[in-house]
Amino acid sequence: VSTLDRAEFRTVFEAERQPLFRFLYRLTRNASDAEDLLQETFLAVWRKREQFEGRGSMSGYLKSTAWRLYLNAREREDRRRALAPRAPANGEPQATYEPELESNESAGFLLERVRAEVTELPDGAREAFVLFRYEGLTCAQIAALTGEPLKTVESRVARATRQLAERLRPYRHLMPSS
Amino acid sequence: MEPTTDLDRLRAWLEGRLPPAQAERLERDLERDPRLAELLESLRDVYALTALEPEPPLARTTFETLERRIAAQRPAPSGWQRKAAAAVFALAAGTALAFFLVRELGGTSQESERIEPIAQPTPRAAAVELTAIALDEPAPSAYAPPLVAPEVLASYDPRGASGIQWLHDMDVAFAVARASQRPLLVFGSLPGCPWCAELRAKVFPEKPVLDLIDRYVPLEWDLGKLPPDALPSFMVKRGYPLFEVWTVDDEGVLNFSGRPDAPTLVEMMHQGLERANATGTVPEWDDVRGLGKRWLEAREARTAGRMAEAQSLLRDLARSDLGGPFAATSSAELSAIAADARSALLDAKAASDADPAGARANLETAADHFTGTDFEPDLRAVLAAWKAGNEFPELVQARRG
Repeated sequence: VSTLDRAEFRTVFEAERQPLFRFLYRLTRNASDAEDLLQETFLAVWRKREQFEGRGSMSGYLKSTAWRLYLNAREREDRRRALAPRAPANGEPQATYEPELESNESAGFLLERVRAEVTELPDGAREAFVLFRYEGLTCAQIAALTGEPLKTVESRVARATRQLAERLRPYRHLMPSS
Repeated sequence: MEPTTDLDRLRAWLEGRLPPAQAERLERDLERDPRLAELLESLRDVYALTALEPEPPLARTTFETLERRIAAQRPAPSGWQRKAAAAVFALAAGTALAFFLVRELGGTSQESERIEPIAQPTPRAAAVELTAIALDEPAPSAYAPPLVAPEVLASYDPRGASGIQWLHDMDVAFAVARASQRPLLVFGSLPGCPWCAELRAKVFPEKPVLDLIDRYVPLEWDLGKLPPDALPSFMVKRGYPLFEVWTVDDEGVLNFSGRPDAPTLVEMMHQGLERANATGTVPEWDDVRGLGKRWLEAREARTAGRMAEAQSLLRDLARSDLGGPFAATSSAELSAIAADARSALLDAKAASDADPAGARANLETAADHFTGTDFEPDLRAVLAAWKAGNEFPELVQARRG
């Protein structure tokens, strides 16, 4: 198939909609944003349908288009997040404290902590980790998708894994199995 | 795919997918290489912890939604339309060439037999006066940042059934503060902090505190997310457990710390309101939630292609006295809808010579898409004039009163 016609486009849409949405949802962590990017991806593919000449899989083509659109959206979002809280003028020194975990935390709390820590991963590392962990991509597949060198992807996923393990270690006992 | 990196091998091994020979080799590597063994432990922990994450929801976008957007935004001729246009062109060119050859080669005898056709007046398309769609490129409107967390805005109440509903995301808290025109009460805590637990159990549920929290947007700031080396100096400088009042413009106006009892906390909260100039009238939370719900309905209507409903809701929001960020984003959305309608019309005009059938079909789809909006009459008028005159009509801008 060198150029998609409308019927073929519909078939592709029906087959790829959910996997692509899942991919975008994992990256954006937000159903509305994922939905918007899903539509933008298919619109972009339709507009540039002549550029898809049957080389490689349609699924891969859609994913790389979605990835580029996601990066653009992330860049816009980063610009918006220039806002940072400033300290009030008069702070008063206070006593120290000793952290001690509460024992009655729930799985919901743990899930929230995990999400917070994944969100805190640096850009690049977070995406690489999410693609590796939730999308099941290999490091080589992530490198192909993002255009990053394989070694960079590997070190990002490893660093993210180590950071998450270290930061979540205090909560390990809250895992349902423990 | 064959695992090529250590991470891929470790994951495959954890999932029991590594072929026996490779598994054996990996196990030998793990015995020899403590760093690899440590990575395996980290991966095992992280896999177990992240397994709690539920599956994403189902996508709601349908093919029909997509088709409407295609028609509204970029009516590019499709493959069959281009082929049809090419065929029409080829036929016309062939006919012209045949006519020319017959006339040149056929001699004068045929010329005398030629019957002059009765001249038919070619119907001219009447000019269409556009009342809603702007022909000129609209001036760029003021930048309106996207509305943050509309779902939260549609349902948030700082005083829930279970006590103070602390927000935990700074961006979301600022968005709620802007929409509700209230300052933020920031509570800096750390997971597992016994003093924070005491405040939660004994001070925050006190009625005077709950009554006053209605005037604030409460934000709980997890100080554990600060870089570990920055935390000690932060706590010395700003105190712990930390209470601060921030204005919507991100200006810190009050700082206090420690373990205040309820009367002290209430007193400090009153001071915070004064310093933030927030003692005047503010919108009721019900009204803020109402705006949030309407904004969500408008977005849903636009995504689903119910443009008349979207336009009507957005217009109400843009005009609302309480609008604030809702008004700004709604105005931006209205401009985007207007730009879509304008593009649909101008794209049809641009394609009307090369592919009149396709361009007209796309414009009809766009007119259906914008049914019930201000733009529908313009689009229908152009279609009617196009049909009557058999060519794309001249467009003129109606005077705006």
